[in-house]
This record gives sequence, C-alpha cells and structure tokens, in this order.
Amino acid sequence: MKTPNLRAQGGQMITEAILIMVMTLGFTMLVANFFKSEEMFRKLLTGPWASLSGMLQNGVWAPAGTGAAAHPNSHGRHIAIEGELAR
Amino acid sequence: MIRNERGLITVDFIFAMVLILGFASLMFVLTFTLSMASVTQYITFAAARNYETAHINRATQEARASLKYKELVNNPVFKPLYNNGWFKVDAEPNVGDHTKIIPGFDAGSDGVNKFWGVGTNFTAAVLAFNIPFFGSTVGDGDGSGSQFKAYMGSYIGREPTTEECLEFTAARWNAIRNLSVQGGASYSTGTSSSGYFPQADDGC
Repeated sequence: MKTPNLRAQGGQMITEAILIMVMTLGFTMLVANFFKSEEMFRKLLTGPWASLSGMLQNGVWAPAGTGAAAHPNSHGRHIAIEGELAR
Repeated sequence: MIRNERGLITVDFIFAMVLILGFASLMFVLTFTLSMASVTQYITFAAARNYETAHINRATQEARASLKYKELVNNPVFKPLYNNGWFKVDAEPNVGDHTKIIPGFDAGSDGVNKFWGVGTNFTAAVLAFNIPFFGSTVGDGDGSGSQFKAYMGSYIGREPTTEECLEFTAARWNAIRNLSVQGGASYSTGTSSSGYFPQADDGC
C-alpha cells in the first residue's frame, strides 16, 4: 500500500483558487442582488423622470401635475389686453 | 494546468464590464432622450407658429398647424426615430386651447389664457431596458416604457382670422348703428347693415 505524501503541495493552489472563485462569485452575486432588490437602475431613472417630465411640460422643476400652474406663460407680464395700465 | 490563473479574473471582468456598459447605456439613452425631447419641442414650436398666423378661418389655422407637425414628424431624418420603438409622439397634434387639455394651466392663467398653441405626447420608450445581472430600469413594469411620458407643447397664441375680423367689424357696425344719439340723427338713419363692406387692414 502506497503511503500518501503529506509534504506534497500540488493541491494547495487549486484549493485556494476555488476559495477565491467562491468569494468572487459570492461578492458578484451579492452586488447583483443588491442592485436588483433595491431596483437601483429603476430609481436612477423613474424618480428623476417625474421632475424631468414636469420640466419638459411646464418649464419648472416640479412634477407635471403640480407644476402646471407655475408654467412661465402664467407669469404676470406687462400686457394690456383689457386696457389696464402697465405696472 | 492547475497553476494557470488566467481565467481567475474573468468573472470580475465580465461583472465590471456589464456594470460599466449598463451605466454607459443609461447615460446614452438619457442624453439621447433629452436631445429628442428638444427636437420634439421644436416641432411643436414650428407647428404653433403656423397655427398662430392669421388665415381665412380658424379651421385653416388648425389645418396648417397639423400639416406642419406631420411634415416634420414624417421628415426622413426624424421618422425612423419616432417609428423604431425608441420614441413615440402622437400622430395627430393637439391644436388650440391647452387649458382644456392640461387643467393646471387654467389654474395658473389668472383669467388670461396664454395657452393657445400646439402640443403632443412624447414617450421615451428607449429608457426602458434591462441590464443583465442588475435588473431593469422599469422594475416590474410592462417594459413598454409608457411611464416615461411627457406632454410637450408650444404656446404662442393665435391671431384673429379674416372670418373673425369680418364678423367683429360687422358686429361693431351694428353696435354703432344702435347707439342712442341725442340731438341728431342716429347712425341707423339712412344706413344699412346689409350693404356694409368692412375693409380688413393687417388681418383685422
């Protein structure tokens, strides 16, 4: 019967490689799951889009519904369509 | 070959590459969307200019605005962008009083309606996409990107039409004829409302 040579270091490298691979994959999955569970990419777009669509529609940084009343066309200007004096 | 470590970094590389490409795609679609929003805004402005200008009657003003809108939306440069699923705009523009379309405009108009113009619904479906490993930009949505919608318009008013001017002038003449005059003959004496031919000067 052949006695195993305990001083042989042939398998050490592969063991460490597997450990590193598991850690790398684990970290990868952790980050990927965090992005998915927190919906990071959705938050990056959907949140700001509310204000952005408001700016596109009304010209003010507010959601479209609430910012409509603040559209620059609503600003009082020196017009005299009813014959009033300019202020 | 156990000591070969060349593949060890591959997982990290793929992961980082997908993440970087994901962010790069995000920046690309966002900047492209803003560019197309600007183009769409200008299309409504060009249509609103056609609507604003005086014409024979109101229907013609609206038709001219609609014609300009369709001409620009179907321009060979823009048509592929509005038809390939990335961006969408209405086939027919909204022309006229926009306080009837966006209720908030009416609230802020303070009795003076300055929201006559041309508008359209702009949808940036390109913003809805999926990044492998990291999820979608629309969460659990239907993936159509319909939530990335904005109403865009240009409001530069509307000049009175020839028809409206003639009606106004004829009504004014009738009002003059009905004025009560003391110490003299009224304007209705010896005049007729039927034989009155108003002369339009500069539209009105």
